[in-house]
Amino acid sequence: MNLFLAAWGTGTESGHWLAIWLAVNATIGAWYYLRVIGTMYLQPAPSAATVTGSHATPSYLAMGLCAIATLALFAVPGWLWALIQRV
Amino acid sequence: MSDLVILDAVQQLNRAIGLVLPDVIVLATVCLMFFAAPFLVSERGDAPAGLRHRWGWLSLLSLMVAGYVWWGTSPQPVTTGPFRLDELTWFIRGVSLAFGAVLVLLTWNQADDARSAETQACLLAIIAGVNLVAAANDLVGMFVALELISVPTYLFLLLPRRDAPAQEATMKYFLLSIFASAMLLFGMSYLYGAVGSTNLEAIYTALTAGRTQPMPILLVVAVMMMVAGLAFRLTAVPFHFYAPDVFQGAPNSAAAMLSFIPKVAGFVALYRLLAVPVQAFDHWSLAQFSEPLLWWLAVLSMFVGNLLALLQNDIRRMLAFSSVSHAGYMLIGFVVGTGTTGGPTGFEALLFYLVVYGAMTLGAFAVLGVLQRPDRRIESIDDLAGLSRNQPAVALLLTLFLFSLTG
Repeated sequence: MNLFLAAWGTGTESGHWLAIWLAVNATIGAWYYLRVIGTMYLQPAPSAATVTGSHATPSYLAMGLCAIATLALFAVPGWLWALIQRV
Repeated sequence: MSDLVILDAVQQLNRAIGLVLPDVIVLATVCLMFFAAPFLVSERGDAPAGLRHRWGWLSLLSLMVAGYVWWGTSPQPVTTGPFRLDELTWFIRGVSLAFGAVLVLLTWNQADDARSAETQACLLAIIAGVNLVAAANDLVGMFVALELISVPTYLFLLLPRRDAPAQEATMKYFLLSIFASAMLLFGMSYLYGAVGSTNLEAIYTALTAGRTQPMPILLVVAVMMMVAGLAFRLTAVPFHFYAPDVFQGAPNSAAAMLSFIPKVAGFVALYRLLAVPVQAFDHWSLAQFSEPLLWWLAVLSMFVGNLLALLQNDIRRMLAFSSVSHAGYMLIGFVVGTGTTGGPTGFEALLFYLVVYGAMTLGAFAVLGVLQRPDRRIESIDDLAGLSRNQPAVALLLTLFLFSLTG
């Protein structure tokens, strides 16, 4: 969204086209991400290849840290913007 | 007189080391690991059980100490020395150390006990390389820092798994990486030829003052070659073709690293090399000069990445093409640069997106790491069928990461 706004905010024709292509591609991209999500939620697990976790603690920890970072950047992005605006 | 010269040299050296102290700490750990590891593994390749946990803890400790030192530093005025510690260096160092810790966790169980030291050491060297790209104040220093990322990456791709797909991935990455390095070096040499210095501040001064006006063709060649060399690291089209095969064949942690770390280094190097005002023809910058090229790279990367990702059944190949498309998104920020009116500038949006992208993509690979078993790893998208019933929390987090990746 910020990249879209930055491209649109240039006020130039090439900037507007970049913003439009960005929106079009985000829509295309949503399709294959949603396909994976659909596979996880809508398809039954094949009995012979049931996915089970290895319970590798470091990978779980990495996954949790990334989830916290993603949610934090979505909910309270202001602290990162403050750091970036100093650059 | 000679005492004064030596004293001055020592002071300069101390100051330079002070600017890169967190990276020195990480690189010292790398040396320690490479030196000590052979003494703990027998000639037959047997290692004490659980040795990889010790190397993992040591890597995390090293990054934490480096992070503590980084937090205590503050941006300094830029001089003509070999290193700089400006706001961008400070920011990038924090980002790479934080995500480096996540990558250490992802690498933790990827290599067996006998090879874990070298694997983690390569990862730490790559992280230090990213920091040094941001800290370099010289073309030569920047090139060496970029190689400090590339050379350990070859080992990092191969060490955890030495089967045929990993060997193929390593060879492809190796050959294309040296090709990209050669193009970058070629471009840098033309920039040096146009300006007469390898120091970035001296280059900026010469470009701003218009001393390159008689040599516009040299600058054209320099910019084209440097963009081509760095586009390989960004996985931007048409320099992306290694990505799907390498992501598919490489170990999970290596694919995760490749999806994020080279992008950070590539964009920082692009910023350092191209975001420079130039007095040539009229008054334009190297970024404006390269804008048409980067505009097309951005559009092609978005379309090629997304359209080819639609056709993939292997989840790592899909994430590789997703990485290509995100390189296109981020290039938009670079093309826009500071030319926005109100709201965030393109550079600010790029840096913000880079951090968010790191969390999302490393998270997605972390989920694949969680689901991986010693005898079989997740390859096809269909391998994830029914995950919401088997492991609902993991499925929910993968959903979060994938939704976030849609933008």
